[in-house]
Amino acid sequence: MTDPPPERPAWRPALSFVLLAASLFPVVFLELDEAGQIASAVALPLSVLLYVLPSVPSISARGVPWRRYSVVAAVVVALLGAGGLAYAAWQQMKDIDFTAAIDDSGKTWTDGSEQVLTVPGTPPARRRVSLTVSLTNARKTGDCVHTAKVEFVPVVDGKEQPPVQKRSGEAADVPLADAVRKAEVKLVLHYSPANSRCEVRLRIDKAVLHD
Amino acid sequence: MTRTRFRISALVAAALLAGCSTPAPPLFGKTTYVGQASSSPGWGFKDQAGYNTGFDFDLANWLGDQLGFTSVPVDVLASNRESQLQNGLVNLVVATYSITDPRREKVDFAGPYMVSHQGVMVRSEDRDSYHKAADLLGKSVCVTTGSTSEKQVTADLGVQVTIRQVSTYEECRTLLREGKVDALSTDQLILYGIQHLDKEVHVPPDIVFGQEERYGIGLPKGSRAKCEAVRAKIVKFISDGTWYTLFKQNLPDVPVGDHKPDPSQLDPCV
Repeated sequence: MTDPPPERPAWRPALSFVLLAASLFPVVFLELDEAGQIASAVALPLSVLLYVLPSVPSISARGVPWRRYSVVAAVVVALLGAGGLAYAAWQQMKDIDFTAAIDDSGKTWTDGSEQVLTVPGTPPARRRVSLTVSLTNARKTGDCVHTAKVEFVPVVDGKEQPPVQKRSGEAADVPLADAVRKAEVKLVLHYSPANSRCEVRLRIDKAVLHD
Repeated sequence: MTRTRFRISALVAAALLAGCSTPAPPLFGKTTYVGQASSSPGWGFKDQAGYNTGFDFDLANWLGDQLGFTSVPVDVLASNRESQLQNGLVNLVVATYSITDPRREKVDFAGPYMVSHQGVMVRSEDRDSYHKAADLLGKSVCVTTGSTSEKQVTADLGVQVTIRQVSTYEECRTLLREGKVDALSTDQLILYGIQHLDKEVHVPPDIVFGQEERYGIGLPKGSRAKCEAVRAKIVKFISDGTWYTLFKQNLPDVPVGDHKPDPSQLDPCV
């Protein structure tokens, strides 16, 4: 007389369903745009399916220890998927350094000079950009570096937003609001009326996209 | 009994607290050595009797009154102001000391307390021939070798002139007097000071060019607290009428024009 097969708890199908739904969360809610990220996201529901598969009577009845195999496979696939997703999430949140060059053809900047800097990405991958510019006096005379103010005007989808003003060497954190198409930053140099004859060279030392 | 104990404890605590909070040491010593020009009439000038006069001299004394020190003038030259500060031979420099970026690398500045431009000086007898920069076309202009004036006459005057370079302004003045050059060039306010004493020369008021010369008070590098204190006093100096009084006392014939800085726009100390 053989023992009857153990009864499956009634809550197991429900738990499997909840796990499957939860594992679909990254696929639905994360912006996945690379094959590796998509594969990682798909790995999570796949691992749930692998775990659930031996419960199907037609598979479980062949005398092979499917349960053990499926648990091992589910854990391996789930770990790979979770690792891949964690990497994808980090990629989506990390600061992005980029090279920002001003196309001034070696010209010097004077009071009121301006240039527009295009932020990479359409739209940019982050909601803010941090810019640090440095000035050097183009001449040997004048009090020009310390006294200059650089105005950073965000231009989001063609519309100018409130500016941020900083001095040479200070980081300006510029909001890109909710850019849909593109974002630019207009840089304008300002001097006080009693120091308006300065000529400087402007260089962007650091440009970082961040949230 | 309990009340007495409480009072004694309170007195002891107060005495201990008072002992802990020693007053901050003064920023400047009782005697402070101030680098000053001695041959720049109207700014820093020592007469034959050894008596000092000039806007910068008066400003240094006013600062001393305000900040609680006695200002002792020490003669400095344009060429040794930075080294005098760096070597601790002077504590401050108040000597028509233009704030420039290269100098900022060596010393700190509080200011500006005065704004000037490049100007020219001609012989009084020629005063009717010079009203604008174009009148200098083809003329000879004396400057001191290596000065900012030399660069600005070349780059900013806007007309072609022949530049004559000598070592000192005294040589320039001699050449001007002897008719060997037509004009000499440096900060217009310095030239106005010379004009005040020497009636044989004339400064055309409308011939100004080049970058702003912004006079600041020089301090040794790394003197942020002192810079903040002096800066606050300069704001007061400009705002309360003292600036105007001293300007008119020392340079009575000079229009104030845009020489007075906006006290809300002084440079921050770094």
